[in-house]
Amino acid sequence: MRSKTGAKKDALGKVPLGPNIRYMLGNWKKWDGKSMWLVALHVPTQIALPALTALIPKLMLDAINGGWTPGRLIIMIALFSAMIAFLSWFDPNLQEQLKVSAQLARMRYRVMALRKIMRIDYQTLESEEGRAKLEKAKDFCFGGRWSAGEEFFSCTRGLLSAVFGLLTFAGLITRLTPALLGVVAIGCALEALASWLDNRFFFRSRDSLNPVYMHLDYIEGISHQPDPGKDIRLYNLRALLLSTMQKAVALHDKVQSKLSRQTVAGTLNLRTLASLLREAGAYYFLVRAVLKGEITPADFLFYFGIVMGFSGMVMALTGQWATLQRCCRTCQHFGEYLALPESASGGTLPAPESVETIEFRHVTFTYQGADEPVLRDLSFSITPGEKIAIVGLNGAGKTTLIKLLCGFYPTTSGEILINGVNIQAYERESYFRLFGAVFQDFIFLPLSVAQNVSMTEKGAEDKDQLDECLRNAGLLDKLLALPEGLDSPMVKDVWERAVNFSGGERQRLLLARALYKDAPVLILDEPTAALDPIAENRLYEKYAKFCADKISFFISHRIASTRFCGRIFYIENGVIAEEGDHEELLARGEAYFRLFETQSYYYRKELAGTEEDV
Amino acid sequence: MKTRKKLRLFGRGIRTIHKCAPGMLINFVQSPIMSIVPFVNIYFSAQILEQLTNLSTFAQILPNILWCVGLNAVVSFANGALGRVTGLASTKLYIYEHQEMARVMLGLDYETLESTATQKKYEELGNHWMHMGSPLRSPVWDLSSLWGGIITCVLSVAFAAPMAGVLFKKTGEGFLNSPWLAISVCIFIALGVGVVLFTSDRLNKRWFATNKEYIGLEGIFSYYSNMLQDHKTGKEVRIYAQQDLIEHHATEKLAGEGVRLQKKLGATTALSSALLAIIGAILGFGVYLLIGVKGLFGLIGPAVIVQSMGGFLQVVNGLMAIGNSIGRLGAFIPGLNYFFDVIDLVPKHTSGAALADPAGTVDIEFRDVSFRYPDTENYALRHVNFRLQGGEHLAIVGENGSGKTTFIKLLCRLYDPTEGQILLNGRDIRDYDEESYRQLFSVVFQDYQLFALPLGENLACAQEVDEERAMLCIDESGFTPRMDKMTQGLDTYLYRRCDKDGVEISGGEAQKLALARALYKDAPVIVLDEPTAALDPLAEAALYASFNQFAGGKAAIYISHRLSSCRFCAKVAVFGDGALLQYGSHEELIVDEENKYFELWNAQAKYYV
Repeated sequence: MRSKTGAKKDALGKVPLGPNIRYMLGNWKKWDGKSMWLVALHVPTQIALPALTALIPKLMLDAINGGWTPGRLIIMIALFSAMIAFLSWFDPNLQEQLKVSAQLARMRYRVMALRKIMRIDYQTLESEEGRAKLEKAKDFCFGGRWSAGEEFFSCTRGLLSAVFGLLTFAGLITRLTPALLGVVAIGCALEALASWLDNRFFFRSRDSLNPVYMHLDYIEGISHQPDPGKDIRLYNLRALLLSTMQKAVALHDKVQSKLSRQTVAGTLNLRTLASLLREAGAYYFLVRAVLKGEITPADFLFYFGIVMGFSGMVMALTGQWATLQRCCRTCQHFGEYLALPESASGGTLPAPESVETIEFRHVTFTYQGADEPVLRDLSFSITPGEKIAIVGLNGAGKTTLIKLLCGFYPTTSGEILINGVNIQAYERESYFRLFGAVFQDFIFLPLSVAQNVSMTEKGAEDKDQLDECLRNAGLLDKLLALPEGLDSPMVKDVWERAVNFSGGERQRLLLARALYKDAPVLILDEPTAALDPIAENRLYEKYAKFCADKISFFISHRIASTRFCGRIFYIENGVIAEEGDHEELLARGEAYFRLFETQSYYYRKELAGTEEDV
Repeated sequence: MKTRKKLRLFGRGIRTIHKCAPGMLINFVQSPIMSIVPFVNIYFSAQILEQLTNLSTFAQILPNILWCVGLNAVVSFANGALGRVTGLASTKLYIYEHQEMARVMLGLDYETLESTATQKKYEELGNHWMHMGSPLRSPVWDLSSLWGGIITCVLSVAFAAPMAGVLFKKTGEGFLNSPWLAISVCIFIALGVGVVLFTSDRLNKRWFATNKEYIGLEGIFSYYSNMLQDHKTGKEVRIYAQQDLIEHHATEKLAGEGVRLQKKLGATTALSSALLAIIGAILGFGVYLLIGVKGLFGLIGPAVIVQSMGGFLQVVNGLMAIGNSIGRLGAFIPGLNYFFDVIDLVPKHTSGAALADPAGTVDIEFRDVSFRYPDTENYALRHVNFRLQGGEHLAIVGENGSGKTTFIKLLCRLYDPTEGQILLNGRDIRDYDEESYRQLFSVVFQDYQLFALPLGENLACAQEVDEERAMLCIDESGFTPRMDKMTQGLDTYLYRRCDKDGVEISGGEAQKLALARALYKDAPVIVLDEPTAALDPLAEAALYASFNQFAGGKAAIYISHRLSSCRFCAKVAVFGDGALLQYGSHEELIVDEENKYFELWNAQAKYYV
């Protein structure tokens, strides 16, 4: 019954407990089934320890009143001490083993999530929905301190101990006087109510406090970083950032003092009342029982201990129950994340070794949730060895076209064919092998420079090819001059001795990576934005060599680059507005021509006219 | 560290807490109250038991029941109320720590901020925070739990006091009746306490060392998982089939070494708990024996028996609290040290003259300026001589790594020259107040940063936003089309870092906003470092065309790999290997076919003629 009301009142909706518990138990059994026995052993010790502690004074008094011999007393005490020693040694050992097991499970869940995130269908990964799902699933295994996947272990243990303990203790109390159980139960219920109220206050205030902490952490976080530090100093942002922080703190204080008033006025009184009731009841009923001769004075002590233990277990039960629900809720989110498709498109056909032709047939593409298509009815075909340049304004759809070709998105309508086969038929991972690409956003892995270019394990790279590609990218000499050469680590956040590369150098590394892959199709998206004119020119001059025998795509805002491509697509509003080689397009005298004129204006010997003519 | 320094740090920590969150010190009142709680029941149940064995009536017992229940209610209410106070104080202190760190770091000059020493200090503080908790709060918690543990132990001894009379007296024949029984139990207890304190300190240290090692391993995994959570990385991961490589490197350390460390951590905790348990049980045997025997011989009554036994159980709890906090105490002085090391950072330039007229004419001169980044051997700039006056527009060109950006950093006084000097209106810029000097510059850095704050505040760099001016600058920078899509207007948060309804913007859009921010500032010197890298030719041309308009009578510096800039700026400075190679107008420089400018220009211009 509790589960129903508890779940209904949950703002996040009803969480199916059964399937989630089964899932987590299933993994537990699969990964470390042995540790399930630990729980089975742990539950009785959790009950026995408080019971024994309550029993000792009683036994001692009984022994004294019974006039035992000292020898017998010593044996009894020795036995007891041995039992307590055993239990209190056994208990933390079990707990720790279980904790290790839980942490290992968390690690496995994290690896599962990591694996998933790298293989999920790209469109889903990028979508609002996919990102929201990831955000929710994070608490299951990525959360800083709290992780549901780990917590489930101790929660199960606590819940089972509490349930069995309560049954045992309630049985003991009832045998003596059922009325006492009633009074104690009411006290516990009051206290549970107080916890529930506290929780509600807490969750309510958490929603309004979250932005406060976000601001505090953000501002403290950027305050020590050198990169934003430049802008902060030049624009004198210090005052703004500090007053934003101050504003957040003021809001925080307001919410906190309200919360504090509520809890002191409401739940604290409730809790005091609860403990009052519980203890008054215990003393009253137990003293009466002794006076009536139902139990001995020594029993009084034992039962008093049992009543106190009972209250503790009720608290544990309500706490663990809330935790279990929370675990199941995040588990549900985690499950939903894992259930996201790995390749919404993509068949089983292995991709071909070489790419002979690429064809777009009436391809239209609209982003999820967008009104307008980015690409409309796009058709073209590309023959072996062709070098394509894609030109167009920001937002014209150039990068989208590339993403479609790479198979990151399925077309909204129309089809893309490689060697005459719809690319949806190709198996995804082998299909990705067809492309060597430099994208505009990039990452480097915290591995060596050589590994970042070759994408292989240490030593597995083709050394000659690596040198060749780095030389072509114009970076080999600089790298060899480093103390650790090509083995220099990258990414400063992870390796303190990592090399810091400039924007231009990073762009060269990316180029080397694309060349090293030596895939049938080469795609370069703005590969020269950070290069100086001389380096840019060198790239152009070598371009033909880079993509000999390959189909290549070159996207750039620098119209100079397009001369090295046999065919230029000028994209405007999602269609190929103009197509041809550089000379042809200039001769047409339309958009491409105007773009070229605009860019070449300042490079002419004489600046014609005034700037208004541009 | 010397004891005196430790004491000074400790005193300063307490004073700081007292100043900004005095409620935190209530912990020292709350912990003894919490220690008292169990003793109330122990005392009264013993009294009641005594009455019960003496066959008292209910009316005789009732006062004891009422006292007990009443006292318990008072104590638990006090505990709860104090708990609220300390809880509030703790968040207050948390905020203070963050606010203070931000205040100090934001107040530093750039060079000090960026220096390895400062970054190292900050990192050490961060590491301490991660492993040992907050530098100001944790010591209070640990010390008050130690204090509570001590109170518990004292109370327990007090509860056993009624036995003292019979313990050390010869009460009859045999060992059980001789004082030696009590003496040997006392020796046992002393030994046990010693062992507990010693080992828990050792084991705690071992635990923290192992945990630190483990967190180090986790760092690599976390880096990968954070990196991958950014969906922008997804394309490369898939195209270059990085999945297996990443999985292997992210998990190999965790799966081998990490599991071993986890097991070691668990074993360490289990070992310390088990040790405590066994020693506790041995002590328990001694104490129970003592109590039992004396009770059996009729030397003590049931009340004393119950009271002493209850007291003994509490001693174990008290010792556990002491043991646990002692292990952590070693960390709190270093923690305070890390914290105050950061808080005590001071900016290099303290004061200077304010600019007489921030909007007035400027005349900036570099006089034989050379510069080396701290901790490096090679000069990034060598003997640069150069002058820029109001109304002059200068283009700076050069190959990657030729010193262009460094030049800008010096100009903006992010660094001071290693040799030579920079003069503003004939006076060394170091004579001016730093903030006042920087009012001269509207800058778009190559790696400009926008902030996860409302759009308007990003432009105005203040909480008060002049809406009209902001919209004008947005229009001029070409951001208007994107602006029109924002439902919250200037109140729209950039990014989702501080507001879940914040908006993401593309590289080109961000670049336009950075320009709008520079325009909003409307300073006498405009500096643009690669402001068009992410813009298409038309947006670029629009910026070129409006450049003369907004740079108008101001001094302007335009750095770019697009040499077009050399045509609409009157003067060109060519940098190479940290030196100013050439300086003059495009027409003057282009005729010198032997030099760098000719090479740079032609590398690009040949494609456009």
